[in-house]
Amino acid sequence: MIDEYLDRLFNRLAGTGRAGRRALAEAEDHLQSAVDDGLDRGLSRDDAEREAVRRFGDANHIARRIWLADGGVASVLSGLWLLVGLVMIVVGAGRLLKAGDLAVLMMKYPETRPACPSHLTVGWDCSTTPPAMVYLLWTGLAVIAVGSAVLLVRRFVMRVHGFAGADPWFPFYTFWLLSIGIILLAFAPPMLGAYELWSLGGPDGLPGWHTSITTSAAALLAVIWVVVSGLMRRRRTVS
Amino acid sequence: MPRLLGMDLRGHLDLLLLSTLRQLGSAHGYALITALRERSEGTFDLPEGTVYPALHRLERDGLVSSEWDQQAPRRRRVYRLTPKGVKALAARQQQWQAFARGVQGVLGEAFA
Repeated sequence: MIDEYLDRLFNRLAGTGRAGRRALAEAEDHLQSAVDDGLDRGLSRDDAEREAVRRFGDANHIARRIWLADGGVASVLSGLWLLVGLVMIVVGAGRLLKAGDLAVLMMKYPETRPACPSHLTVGWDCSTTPPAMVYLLWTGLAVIAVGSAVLLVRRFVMRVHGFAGADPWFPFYTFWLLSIGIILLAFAPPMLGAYELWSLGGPDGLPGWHTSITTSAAALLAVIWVVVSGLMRRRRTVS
Repeated sequence: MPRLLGMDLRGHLDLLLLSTLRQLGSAHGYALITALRERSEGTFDLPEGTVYPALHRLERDGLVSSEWDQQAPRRRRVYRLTPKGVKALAARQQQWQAFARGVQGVLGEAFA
């Protein structure tokens, strides 16, 4: 019964790092002391354990209060910070890949490149023009730079202030955030890029999938990476 | 969080823990909560696990310090008041006594 309670508490304290580990050790000592007292008073072991667990309190409630007392809000903020940084890097990478798609397209079909409407001179609205490719390239690099800066600042602040909780570099959920980001990167840009170029009146006879060669290749590599990483992580966990 | 006379004890738990720790000198969580229950003659019978978040918060605020007890048979964390905690306890005791005098003044009038 004590072990089951400690298992529940351990699960609720997942991701709290050193603070949670200490709380778990204190809870185990407390419960064992309570059981010893109960046995001294003549209770059976089962009754002593049942009383100790009942008196200690609900595991969810206790874990939540420990999480709050040990900087839980700071952990949430640092998690949001991490999410923003990762999303920005994924979005920036998507822009770079789209710029790559345009470069491949212009190299492959220079003679069939449609003319850009006169009122659209620069910008991503006329996506088959070189200025649009340059725009995507520089904005992609800028967004990646800002996302990287967000992650570096987060790392610095967590180190300076000693935020309790998960490892500041790789919280347990980082793998899943990266995986979801890469899958979004894999499927969204090719569909958006192909639709955009097709709706702008691509060359006659130009199939939609030719418009996203670079992104499609990156998407395939990303999916392979997610699957292989997941299998390798699972093998490490099992062993 | 238990209530007494309709009052949420959360705000007073720190005062109770600091005071009990001052009387005991140093103690681990189980001894602390047991002493609190005995000295209050069962009035403050809290969910025992709630003492640890409170102690962690007091330690974060610098009012208590803790270390692992190397002599104990199990892994056990022992707490004691810091000088800052002693001052904070004195201040909170004064506030509580002023509150209690006020309440007694009103209750005394009511039963006069």
